[in-house]
Amino acid sequence: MSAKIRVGIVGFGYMGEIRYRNVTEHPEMELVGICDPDREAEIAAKNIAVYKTWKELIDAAVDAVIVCTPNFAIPEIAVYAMDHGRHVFCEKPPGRNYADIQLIRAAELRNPQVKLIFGFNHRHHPGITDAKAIIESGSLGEILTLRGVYGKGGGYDYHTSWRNDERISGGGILLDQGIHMLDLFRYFVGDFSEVQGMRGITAFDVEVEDNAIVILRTPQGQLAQLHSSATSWKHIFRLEIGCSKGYAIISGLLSKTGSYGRETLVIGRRPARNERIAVGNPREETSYYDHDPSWNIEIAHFAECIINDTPIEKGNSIDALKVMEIIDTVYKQPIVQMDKIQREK
Amino acid sequence: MKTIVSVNEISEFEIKPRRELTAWKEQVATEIGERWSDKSRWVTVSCPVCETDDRQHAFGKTGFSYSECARCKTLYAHQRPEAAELDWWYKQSVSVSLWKEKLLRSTETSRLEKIIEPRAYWILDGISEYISRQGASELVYTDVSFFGRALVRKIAEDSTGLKIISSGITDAAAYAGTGIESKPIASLADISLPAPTDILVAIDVLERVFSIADFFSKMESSVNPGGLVFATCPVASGFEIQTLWEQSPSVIPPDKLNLPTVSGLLELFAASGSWKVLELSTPGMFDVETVKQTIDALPDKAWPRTLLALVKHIDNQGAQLFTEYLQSQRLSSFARIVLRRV
Repeated sequence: MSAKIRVGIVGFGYMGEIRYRNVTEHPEMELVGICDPDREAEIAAKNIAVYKTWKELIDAAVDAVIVCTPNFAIPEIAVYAMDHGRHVFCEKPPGRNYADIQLIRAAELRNPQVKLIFGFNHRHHPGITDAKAIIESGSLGEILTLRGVYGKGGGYDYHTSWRNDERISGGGILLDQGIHMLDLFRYFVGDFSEVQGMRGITAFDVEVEDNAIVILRTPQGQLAQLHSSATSWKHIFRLEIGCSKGYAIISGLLSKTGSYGRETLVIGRRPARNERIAVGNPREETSYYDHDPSWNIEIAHFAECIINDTPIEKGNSIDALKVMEIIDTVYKQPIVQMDKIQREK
Repeated sequence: MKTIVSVNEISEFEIKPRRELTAWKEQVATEIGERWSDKSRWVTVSCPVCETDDRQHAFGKTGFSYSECARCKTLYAHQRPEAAELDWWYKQSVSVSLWKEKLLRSTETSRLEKIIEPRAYWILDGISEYISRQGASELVYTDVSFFGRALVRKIAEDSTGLKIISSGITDAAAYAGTGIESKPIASLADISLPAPTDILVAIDVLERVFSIADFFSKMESSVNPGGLVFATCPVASGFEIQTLWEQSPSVIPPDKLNLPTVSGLLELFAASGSWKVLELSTPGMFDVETVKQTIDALPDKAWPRTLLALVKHIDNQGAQLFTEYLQSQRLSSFARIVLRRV
């Protein structure tokens, strides 16, 4: 490997641009070039080498590839890259379905020298990292329940997005956005032994779900519930973590547009037996955050693991496999259109 | 850097009962008059934050003259007794004895529940958030707070893996059977730690030292790289101080000689290059209540109509929402700070 990690980016959409900034800001990384046939002029305008095909980019002298493509393309690119000895950073979701992530995982096992990481950046949001540290300190006791809401408002041309074309995306809002919340559930309580889900098409003329509800239970009996929605109209992110001695609520999410609201972490504590605080109205403390380091932390973690040849700890292929297993279970349930229910009534 | 909003059902009278508070304030005024009528040996200090001498007279309070720094807007007593005199005050004055024996003792239960416990959570959660304990050996925890015994005890009860050293000037008595080492700092003139530390806690210290800038400069060599500082102090940029100014009941010498501003503190830490600000919040809960009480106590004063509308004519829920707003905008008059030594 050269002195710096030589990186190629495949896909220059929203995520590709973020990763371009992350790579150029990282002192141990060097951007070799970008491949995105739809945006070659924009790439060239930034004085970045344009690659006509992703294979050309991977075959060039790169050490690592960041895959920021629509879901259907991820497995082929990731597998090719690993089989050619390249480290791989894949944005979420890790493919369209469970079979895709299994292909990627198999390639990783064939090539143990490469590092493979997935873009579950929410783990690195400050509200999440602070909540994790406080809970791990034991001061809130054991986690009992998790309740997550992750929603957005699909626009009037929502049905035209590739994200809702099942052949390209593999699924709807649960795979696109709810996957982050499921990953956070696992981040806090580990694996689930029971998964039940429902998905529906409620408002849009699409073939994938625009709403999904998932309920889960760990082997220890901790309960979790997710509502993933494209019909929230107001962007919303809220994760409530109920513990034996208190609770943590992360709401809002630092983002480019700020549409999810200011990111906050509320910590509340169950009053002690001798305290005079009214039951049901405990003392709360709210942290407001003003900086989102999550994208840079992910890239830094990837770089660190490559340089030091250490395992990927956050967002590894097991994390990706497990979360896709949950989604696969939900996707085995029939998708129900609201119109149909009304007609049947 | 993060900002904190703290919601806690608490009235100032729970921790400062009116009768005891009034008696204590009267004792402070009497004792200052008796002890320090002669100011010939008082020392003149520069701005305790930005260290400039460009200042404007603000107001006089109980024998002390307060000035506002022209540069960073810190409110401070630019003339004050020398260190030995202040040491005497904090350790031996009748006022401090009254504070410890009457006020602290009579409100012990409320203070433990509403002040000490949340403060202990703040510190212990902060240690969990900001220091990786993976494979770490025992961390040295040094407390230089004024009147910090209850907090030190609470931290000792609730924590593991900390070697706790109590170094507060006012807290010389030993902590029998607790495992807490007592190594009190002798004088305000030389605040230096007995040993390098990983965690420094300085509650109610910054308002009393001769120079806040000098305090943090000295701590650069005492706090280990990656170590944390937890500190609190009143801030002049807060709503209560800005609104009430010379009428503020919170400006009480010689306990509050320095009232920096939020922006002044941020500039200080940015300029030093040795500290990363992890948190600078103003979770003060009494601004609205104090302003309201002061307006009630001085009905003949020509208070601005907007102030009356904002503070006097709102109900409890409105006062709580206003308090949360002040906290979220760092506009309350009590600040807390978490710094990492870089």
